[in-house]
Amino acid sequence: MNKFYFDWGVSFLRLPYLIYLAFIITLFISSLFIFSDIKDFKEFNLLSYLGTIKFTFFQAFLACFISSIVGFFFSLIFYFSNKDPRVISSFLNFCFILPVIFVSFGSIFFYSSNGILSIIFDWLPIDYDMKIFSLKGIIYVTSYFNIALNANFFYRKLINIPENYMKVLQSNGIPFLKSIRLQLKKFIFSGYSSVLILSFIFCIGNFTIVYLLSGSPNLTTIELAIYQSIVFDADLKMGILLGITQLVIILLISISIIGKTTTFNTFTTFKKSYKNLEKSLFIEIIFWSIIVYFSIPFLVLIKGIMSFNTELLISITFLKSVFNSLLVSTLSLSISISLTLSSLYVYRSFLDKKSPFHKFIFLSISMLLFIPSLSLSAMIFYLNFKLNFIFESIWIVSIINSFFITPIMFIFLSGKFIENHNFEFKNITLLNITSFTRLIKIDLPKIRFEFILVCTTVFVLSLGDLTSVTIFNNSTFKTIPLYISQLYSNYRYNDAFFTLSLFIMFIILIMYLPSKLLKQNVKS
Amino acid sequence: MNFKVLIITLLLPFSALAKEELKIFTYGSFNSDWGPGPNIEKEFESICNCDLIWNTADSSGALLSRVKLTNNKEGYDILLGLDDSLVDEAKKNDLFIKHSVQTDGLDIDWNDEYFTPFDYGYFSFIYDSDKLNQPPMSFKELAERNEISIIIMDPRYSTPGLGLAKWINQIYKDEASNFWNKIQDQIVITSKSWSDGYGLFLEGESDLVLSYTTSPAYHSLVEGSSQYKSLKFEEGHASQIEVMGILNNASNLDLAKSFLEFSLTDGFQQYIPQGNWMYPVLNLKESQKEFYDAAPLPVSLDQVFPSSEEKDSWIASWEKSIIE
Repeated sequence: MNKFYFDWGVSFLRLPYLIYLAFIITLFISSLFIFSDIKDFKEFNLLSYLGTIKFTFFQAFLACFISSIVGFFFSLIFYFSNKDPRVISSFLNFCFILPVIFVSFGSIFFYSSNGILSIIFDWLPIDYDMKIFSLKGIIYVTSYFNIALNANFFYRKLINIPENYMKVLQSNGIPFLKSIRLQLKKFIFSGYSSVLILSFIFCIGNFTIVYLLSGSPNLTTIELAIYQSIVFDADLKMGILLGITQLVIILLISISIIGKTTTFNTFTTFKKSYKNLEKSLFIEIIFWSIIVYFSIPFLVLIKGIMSFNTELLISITFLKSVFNSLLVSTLSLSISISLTLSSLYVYRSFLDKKSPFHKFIFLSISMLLFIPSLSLSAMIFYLNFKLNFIFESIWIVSIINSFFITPIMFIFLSGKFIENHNFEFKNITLLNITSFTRLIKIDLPKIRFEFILVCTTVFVLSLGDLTSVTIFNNSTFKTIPLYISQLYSNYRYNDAFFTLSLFIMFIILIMYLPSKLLKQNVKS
Repeated sequence: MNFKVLIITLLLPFSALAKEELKIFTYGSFNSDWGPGPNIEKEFESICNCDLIWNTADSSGALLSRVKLTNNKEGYDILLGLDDSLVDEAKKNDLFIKHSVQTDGLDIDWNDEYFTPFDYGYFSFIYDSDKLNQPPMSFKELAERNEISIIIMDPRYSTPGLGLAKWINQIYKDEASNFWNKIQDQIVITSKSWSDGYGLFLEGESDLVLSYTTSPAYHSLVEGSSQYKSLKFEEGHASQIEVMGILNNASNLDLAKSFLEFSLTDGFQQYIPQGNWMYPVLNLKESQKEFYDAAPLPVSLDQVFPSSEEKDSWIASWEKSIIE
């Protein structure tokens, strides 16, 4: 007779994912109720937003196009520069996850009419006409991140070209660049669709950049229009409807790009064979020019350090903002970790049973990447309003942040988490190991390196976020990015740059410590 | 004795000591470290035996939007910081109650049963006299001098932006759209808020910025700098009056009414000139002489209290020029 056996660990592991599903379903259903009192659909004059929709996609396509080409060019230079691939790749990763507010203000500091470049031009003397508060500025800052992402992708591909491939090319006397066009194209561009989609989603949803750099009502993206609908027009319906419009268009474009790809292989190792490329002065000059390009935002640190302000450091508003930022990031990270591990567990258990439902789990998590954060804010705002504001702002912002970092964690960890799952499944069934023990003894040790890296990355992403907090802030709840933006708006530039410098130094420290820890672990 | 009764009896004296709370919803800069809010809070708390609790939104427009969106379920007693252009819309949404506070003897003409004024100002363009030697003296001249760049605010989201639309409509009436068309190329930035736009002007992004005649007083009295000046337009300057009102579901009506009365006394008004950098609604020309010297009153156009429809038509004139 089979003894009834209830694995509490299974229920415990499934719980966060089930709570998440219930929450998302409640959120969508409650959002549908907002449209229940519609008498005439003409009240949604979506056509008046046609210009906004067109501009959103125009700037996204333009930034994606520029980033792909420049990113590819940069990757070639990095490849030919013969530098340590780990250093280059880490540097590009670091640039990609820098807080948007830092790169935006860093670019303003360098390119504005009173910026460093203008001072240099005045000194030369040449007329300076770069307008950072314009489409140029938006594309420049958006591309900064995407160039780093694209360059890193192509660079990793170039570094991983199999050695025998290179030998064959060399023996046949085919120049490397020609071989890319003729033979290596397929290898280098394989998997690029996922990067392109990530890049495209980032460009479409770049609320902070447009919020800070849009100098004209014509330069309004859907995200900004959602913000304006909620904050100024008291029109949650339009906010949600604009969000749905954006979601549908992104999904259509993504589906057309991605085809049937369901996993992202992001942790490629450095196998190879970059060695013995001839050094050239030309490459060296361009290499260092690229490093200078990526370092431009860091010039703001000089201004920040020169503006040291003790009074600001001990002011209640600053201390509260630091506390709130750390609390929001910690809460977001905790929610994300439990949700990610739970989703990965459910995802793998379907894979173990060879059930096609694993695709549903993947979709239910990765769809969060496609939902505009401000639309999600509008939905949560409405739900909270119906529940008589039971959720405090800090919880709402943490939940929204966690929803955007969870798919990143899930995608980055899924490859390693499900590695050898068939073999493991057979063994744990034979040995009668519980799910919880499997998680603690097998899974977590297996993914620990990736886990620490991803946790650091998403903590930093959450720390630098300036989207939902623009809607849910109040006099007692501000985060550091919002505090910096408000200091800047109130033309307290020195204080804004000083706070920004402290903020970025803290982020560098956060990113440095885990990598140090990992190195020590590897050595031991 | 019942245990619960014992606990309640013991806690009763502490609850009697708890102060009443007055929740005020205002725009961020009013209650910032550098705004008048903290001083006003101290003054009022010293006479009311209450706790004044501030909450803030980004701007005037955002204030009204928030209470409309939530029907004030967040429980604020007073909304402080609407301007005269938003009064009609606020009344139509049935969000405020009548106040019965005396508003006689103020420095401005005011008669409204829902709102009381707390400061006023005149819209103007500010320029850097070190960079612009011959400033324009009228809107006409401004439109003719294409080399002069301007930063304005978006009238849909910023009250100074809406103020400029009002100003242009007061002067050009049916020709307002044409005037907007003429200056369109000179507008280098349309910012979302006054503070964003003013900050960009100080960063050197334009020759002129839409602001108030009182702005140079800040530079002169706080920074000791006299380079920033206000244009004096022959056509006259449009005014803006900032108001406050008691919200419909205020939990503490008596305290809210006391605050409205307090706002029309020296205790509140003394912090307006060099806190909010606007003219106080009480005549403080003697006690605030240096402020009035640094920000002399300009030639004023008639005071206008627009209906929501008029406001929409001003915005439409501006929008038409952008599309064209």
